[in-house]
Amino acid sequence: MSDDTKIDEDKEMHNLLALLYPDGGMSDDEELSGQTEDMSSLDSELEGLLGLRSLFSAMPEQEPSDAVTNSLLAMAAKHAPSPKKAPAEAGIWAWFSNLVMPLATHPGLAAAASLVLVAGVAGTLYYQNGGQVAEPLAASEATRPGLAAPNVENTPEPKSDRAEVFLDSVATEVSESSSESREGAQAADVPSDEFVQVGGEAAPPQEVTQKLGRAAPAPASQSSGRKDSADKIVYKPVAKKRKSSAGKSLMDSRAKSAKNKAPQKSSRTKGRSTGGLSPEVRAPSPAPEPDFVRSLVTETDDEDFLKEKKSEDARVVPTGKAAALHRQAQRAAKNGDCATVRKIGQQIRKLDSAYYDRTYLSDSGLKACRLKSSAQ
Amino acid sequence: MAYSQVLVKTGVSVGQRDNPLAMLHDETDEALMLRYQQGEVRAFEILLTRHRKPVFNFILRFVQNRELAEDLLQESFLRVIRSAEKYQRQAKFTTWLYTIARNLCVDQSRRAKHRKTKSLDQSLSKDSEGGTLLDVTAGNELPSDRKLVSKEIHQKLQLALGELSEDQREVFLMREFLDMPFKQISDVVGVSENTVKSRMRYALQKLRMELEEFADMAKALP
Repeated sequence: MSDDTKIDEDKEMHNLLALLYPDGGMSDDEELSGQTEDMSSLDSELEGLLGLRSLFSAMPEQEPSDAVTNSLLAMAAKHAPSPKKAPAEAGIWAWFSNLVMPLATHPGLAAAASLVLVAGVAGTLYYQNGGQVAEPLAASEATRPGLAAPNVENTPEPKSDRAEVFLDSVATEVSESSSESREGAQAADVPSDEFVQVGGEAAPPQEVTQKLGRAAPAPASQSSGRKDSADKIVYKPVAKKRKSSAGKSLMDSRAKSAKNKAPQKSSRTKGRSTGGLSPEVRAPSPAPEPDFVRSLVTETDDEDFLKEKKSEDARVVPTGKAAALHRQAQRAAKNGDCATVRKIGQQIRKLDSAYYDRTYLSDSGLKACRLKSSAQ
Repeated sequence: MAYSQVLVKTGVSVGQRDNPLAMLHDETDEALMLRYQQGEVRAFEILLTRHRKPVFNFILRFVQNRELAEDLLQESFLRVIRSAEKYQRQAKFTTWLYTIARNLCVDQSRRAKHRKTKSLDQSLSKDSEGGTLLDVTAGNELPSDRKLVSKEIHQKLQLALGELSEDQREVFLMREFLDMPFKQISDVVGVSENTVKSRMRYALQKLRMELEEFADMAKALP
């Protein structure tokens, strides 16, 4: 096929299509190129193609099923693009906000901040107190230092009715015994103030018990349920010259108390412990020794240790005893016995001056007796 | 300036102003697609209503299987949905849509070549009274002015289309049934405009030969 023939065919094709699709199917410069020359030769072919087009135009069109349309609409709704957001504001603040906001809104950050705050406050208070942990302000009766036992073996038992009876009796007779005690203390070069209760249940000195006219305390072995605590509390002389004998008496008393199994029939002393020592054990020397210091049993003779122990014990304030005396004073005040009230007040002041100032003096029930005494 | 005057000046009638849906129907395909990009599902609904029928018939005449044509129609619009965010106004919507549909048809045709398929004029049942596959693909309704065209002619036309090569068939279908200009067809197919015209001419010649027996009947058609 020569080039001229091909060009002619192309022209013919363009002309034919331009005639067949006059509705914009061809560009203007292409339409009917060389139209006037061979239009007659295209007529027959054009007529046949127009007939063909009419056949196809008569073909019916079909509709897709509604299921397809519905599913497409559902998919379009489901996958519809989200509206585009407005462009974020530029600047350092916007950048900083975008950086910090995810962290600031995280709940873990609030928890961490709370932890840091609590730890900071606790640390500040700790260092302000010089590295010491604060003690609770409201101490219980058992944890109060004045009642705390310095030794595990001397842990006091709960206060019983017997103790209260005993303390009451002490309070009533203390005025009588105080003068004698002072005399005895002077004779033994030991101040009467050195009578200090250390641990355990308050036990009367021997002289007090004797003056009360009560029976001697039963041996420890006879005191049911109180043997352990009774065995560990003794009266020990403070004076050096008596220390050895007192230590010896301690040993003897333990040996004898172990041997002494005979029950005491006294109804008043039954079940009551006054130190677990029999009268003969507590008074081994022929001369009475009223100026004993009740102290813990220590197996050492080291004087320095004993002195230190005594000074420590002296700092221990028997608030419980002071409170008992206070109650006794209240009862005496009710009965109008202001002399007893005065004596008990002196005793409380000796025992616990802080309690005396803080509680005893502020007792309105005792105020009348105090005024009467001051007037006298 | 009053709002009504603005609408009149911009070519919006009073009826359209009161009816937003009517305004959407007057929008171009590209404007509707941009609206759908902004999340307006109603715009896509109008696009679907506008194009589902011609696209479906194009696919149906290409693959000559109704079920397959429905699947391909669904896939075509699904691709439109998925690619909506990437759509740019520079591209004509119909060009984009028919490119998708045509590619799906070509892919389907290539896959069909590798497996045995039933012939359109093969009887669906063993006895010859059961009709053919072509009967199934033919429309159920005929417009009143086209009732002269018989069922036999429809079958012959379908068979003649099936005899065309894929290149000729797609060009003929786009030009004849979709009224697409040759330039747009060349954009969809991806060949030059002259190549499209050449394919069109050969397609017409071949169809004329196939349908020679209906020439007299065709002359009688309006």
